[in-house]
Amino acid sequence: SCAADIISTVEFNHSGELLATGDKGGRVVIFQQEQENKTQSHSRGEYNVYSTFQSHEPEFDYLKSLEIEEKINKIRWLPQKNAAQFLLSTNDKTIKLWKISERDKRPEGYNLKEEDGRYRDPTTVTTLRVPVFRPMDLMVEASPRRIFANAHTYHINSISINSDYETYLSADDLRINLWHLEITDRSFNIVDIKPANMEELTEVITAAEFHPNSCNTFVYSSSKGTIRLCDMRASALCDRHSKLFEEPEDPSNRSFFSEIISSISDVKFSHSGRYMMTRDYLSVKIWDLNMENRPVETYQVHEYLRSKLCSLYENDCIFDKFECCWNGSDSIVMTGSYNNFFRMFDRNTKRDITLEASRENNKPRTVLKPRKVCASGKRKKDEISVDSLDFNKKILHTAWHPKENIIAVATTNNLYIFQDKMN
Amino acid sequence: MFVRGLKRKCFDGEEDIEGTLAGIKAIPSYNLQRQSLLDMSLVKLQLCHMLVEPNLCRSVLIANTVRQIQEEMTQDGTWQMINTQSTGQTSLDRLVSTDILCRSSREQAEGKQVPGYGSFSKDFEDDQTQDSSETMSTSSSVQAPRNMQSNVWEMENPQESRGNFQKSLDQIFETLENKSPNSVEDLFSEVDNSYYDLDTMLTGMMSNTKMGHCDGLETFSSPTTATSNSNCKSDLNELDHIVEILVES
Repeated sequence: SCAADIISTVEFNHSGELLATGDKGGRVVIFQQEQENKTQSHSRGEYNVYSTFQSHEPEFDYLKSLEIEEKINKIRWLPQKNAAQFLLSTNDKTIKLWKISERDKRPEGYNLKEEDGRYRDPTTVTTLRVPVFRPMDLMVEASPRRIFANAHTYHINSISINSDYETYLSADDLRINLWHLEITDRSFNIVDIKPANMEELTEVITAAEFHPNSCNTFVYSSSKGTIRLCDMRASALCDRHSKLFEEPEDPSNRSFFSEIISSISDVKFSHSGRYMMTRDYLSVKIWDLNMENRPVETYQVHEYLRSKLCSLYENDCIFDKFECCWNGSDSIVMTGSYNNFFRMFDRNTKRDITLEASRENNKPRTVLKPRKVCASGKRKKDEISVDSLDFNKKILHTAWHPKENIIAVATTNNLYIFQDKMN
Repeated sequence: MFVRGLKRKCFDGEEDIEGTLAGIKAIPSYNLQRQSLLDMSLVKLQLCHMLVEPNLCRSVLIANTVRQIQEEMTQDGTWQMINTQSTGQTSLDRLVSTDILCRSSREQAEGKQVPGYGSFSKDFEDDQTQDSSETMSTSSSVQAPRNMQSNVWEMENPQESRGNFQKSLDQIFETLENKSPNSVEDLFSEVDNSYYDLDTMLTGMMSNTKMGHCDGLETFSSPTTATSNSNCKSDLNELDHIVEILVES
């Protein structure tokens, strides 16, 4: 498999029936869950490829003499309103609205055309007939309905659909724009943190998301570990936040890498809208929107890496942007790590588990075995020492089915779908 | 404890250390580790210049790290930072005397073409030729890269390579303009210190443009869309700014 296959984003749709992945080559692959098999009650439907299409192509920015990557940074689904499905996909510069529709019938019996499309000789037409629809093999078509371009000077890192289902935001390193889904030739700039003098730049936007229920509220995170909550009713340009979430630094852990590891790589609201989760390099934090001065919960993803930060800085792994996600009931959060490990934290029981996404160890239908990393000292059997971790095998993108315990985990080139054991 | 009066040698490998230090475990000095981190960061930033379009977040984080180190170096002795890589308790007193710090900033004030870091490390080199407490840090310099697990950075001969910084400065600018980092390995091995004024480097990196490709605008047709906004204009100005800086240097 080549570099273009590297999965760059994973997202379930609102019902969980569809799972979309984007890759470095600009392709989108959508999987569909099979209807539940009534005879095999011990398993839910499997996910099979439903549609594949090329969303973005590489482009060349002639003004700056720079190539624009076709890599899909994010996919977000719109809620389903009719038979067709809609999703937004974005690369560094351009967002596209795609319509995915099914066709399982086709008209036959035209008067003027043959079945293959060639026009008939009019003199041979002696009777008139009404064309009828006949069933055909299911065909899934993806067509671009809107292209939202030329609004971002810097690289888009986030898109988020508003709960009004009419607008959405797109965020790059320095600016956030608000779009209407129907209008492509203009967008409103709602956040701009670009300094007048670029030499003074010390902080960038790393992620942004609309509140799931409150259509005037959104948050954005920064490379300095802060989250700002903004209210669009307050002013047109939301440069002044309504709330600023920031945890004071722990002085005992201070190092030259403190800022880098505090940089937030992902921010996600809980389904309830009461909490938000942030991911920084070593931890996952849960914030109560009513409390700005510290998170209510903190989970260590791979604390054993704290003593390796210099090496991780040298090989650039310290800049890896891990995502995180909630389960449907907001009781469990999940995020990825290295060595194809991913971690789940149960907020109620405070238990956590480390699992591995790899073909070698897991045949289909086997139960995943919990993993453990030995930080120091004697390594027990089945434990893996920190030094044997493969830092090239990173799980950056994970997704949780909105209703069921089905998860999608993307390693570099492969997508794994796991579900909990049904009794 | 520091070993005084030890004759410096050119360290090729571990055997030499063990021979001369007779079993004393060499702990990499905090200053050397910090310097190594600074060097590494500056190389990363230079690499940003060579990429098609640098990742702004990464560039900002690295630049902030460089700034932090710079700030601490100039305030040395006031700060007590625990280095993440330290193998022992290294709550070190500052090894560089105030006099040297003052000298470096005075040389900067004299408007030397040499950027700030160059002056500072040159003074550090001068300081090392004296048989002072720095001797311990010198002998531990070979330890430092092993601890850092760095195969890019070899700090075997910090003294000699620092003397070549002016030559390397030209090489860097040349590489940037030609946009052909064939000898990237060579570049890394010679560049031990920062050769940029921090602001110059940040300007070049932050404006998110490629340098030395202004002629590209003429050879390509420019099908920019009608909806290009004023952001493009300001970024063009930044491109001019970069070109100015390069030409000045």
